[in-house]
Amino acid sequence: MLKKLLRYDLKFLFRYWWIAAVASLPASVMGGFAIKLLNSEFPTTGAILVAVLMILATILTIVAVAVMPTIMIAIRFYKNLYSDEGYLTFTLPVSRANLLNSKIISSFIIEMASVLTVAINVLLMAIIAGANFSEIFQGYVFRVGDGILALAFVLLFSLLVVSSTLLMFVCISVGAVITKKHKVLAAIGIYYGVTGFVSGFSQLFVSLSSGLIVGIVLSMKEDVRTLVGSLMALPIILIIAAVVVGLYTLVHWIMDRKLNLS
Amino acid sequence: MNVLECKNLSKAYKKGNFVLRDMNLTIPAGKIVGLLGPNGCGKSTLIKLICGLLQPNEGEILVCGEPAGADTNSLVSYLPERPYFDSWMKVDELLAYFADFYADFDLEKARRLLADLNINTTAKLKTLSKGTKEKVQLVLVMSRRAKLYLLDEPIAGVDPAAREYILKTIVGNYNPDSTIIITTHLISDIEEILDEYYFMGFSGVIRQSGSVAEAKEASGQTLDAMFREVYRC
Repeated sequence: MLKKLLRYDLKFLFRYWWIAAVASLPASVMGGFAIKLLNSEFPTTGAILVAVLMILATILTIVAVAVMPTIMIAIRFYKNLYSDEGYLTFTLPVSRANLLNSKIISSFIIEMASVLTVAINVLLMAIIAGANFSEIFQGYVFRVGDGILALAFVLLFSLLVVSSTLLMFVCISVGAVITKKHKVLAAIGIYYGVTGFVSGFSQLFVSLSSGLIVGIVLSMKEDVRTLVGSLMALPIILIIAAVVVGLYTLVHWIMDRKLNLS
Repeated sequence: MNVLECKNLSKAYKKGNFVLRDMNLTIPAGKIVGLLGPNGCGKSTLIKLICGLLQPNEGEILVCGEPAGADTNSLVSYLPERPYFDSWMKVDELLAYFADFYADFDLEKARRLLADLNINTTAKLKTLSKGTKEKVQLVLVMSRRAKLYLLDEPIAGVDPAAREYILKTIVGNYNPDSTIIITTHLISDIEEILDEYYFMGFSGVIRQSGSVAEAKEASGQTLDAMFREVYRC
């Protein structure tokens, strides 16, 4: 049943996004030529104006590719579960866990597709604009721990994507159960309240601990610095993993025990 | 065999404010049952509890002997009092959706019923009128070979011609081994198709119940007249 749920969730999420994703590729080619034009010797005023407009159009397209998934994920989650559609979704012969898992997996897939598309676009622009990659990576020496650092980064990034999606699900779910008339407004208010609190708290934590961490890392020999630095990501990964488990449990509990469709 | 059993069922949306209190109800298989009562007596709450849209505060619900939940949703075909479809879907996609999730969905039967109604299955739901959407929903729900059909106010807000069609569809597509529970306060329209009735009072108290034919014979009244007498203000 999870596969079937996924199929319908993905179909909804990719419905409009793929158009923006496909459109972004020629836009990036155009943006690359525009950058090249600006870098050329003695460009005319008209050429500069056209190039700037082309770059703006490219940036807008890439921003659309990056932002659309979040909007589509929120719409899908709210409509499919907490609007009238919920009467059908929650009476399917499917467990609440599978309903939630499908939403999380499909959200992760489109977010990753979005990251990949943005990366391809940036690379495309850089190639066309004439970026010298051998110069960028010149002198780079592979160090012990680079692989672990990359792995830690991928894991951390994936967990952050899942946790931010789950945070959105929590806000929508809480908004849907605490009010009957202004569910969306309540969800937005809760989201900004929670993210404001979390960002304030994390800024405080970073400002208090960053000096100490940087001091420790800089005092080490260069060849072990990357390895130790990547290992220090472990507690952060564990904290975010715990947050993911907590948020998942909360959404599942609301869907299972507190559901009250109007 | 009992298709539905509610044991000591209680539900309160706010603490202490019970919509259903200590309700006991047993409904056998193979009947068309009217769950009748005034607005706000808890009919829809009971239906939502049976299909897992709400959780009881106390008590137990058994559908074909199994505790109500995701597993029993495969045995229950539910028609809510409002359209529950995603309006961007086409009727064809909706048919595929039901066929995907419900093993007991009879696709051919649904197509035949929709063709009888001249409903274009390639049309998007958002292009259909409210009445047509309701008919599509009813066709999908009644095209399942479920053990228990829960029809919440199926004829409220539709014109008399549509009411006739809806009742004809319910009776014509009813499997004799299954049970249909219909909630409504439009009793005169449905009493001809009912085998049994339950007059539900506030807090889920069953004020009167039994065979419709026997009750009519004993009282010499229609079910609608009996209802008016029981619930006279």
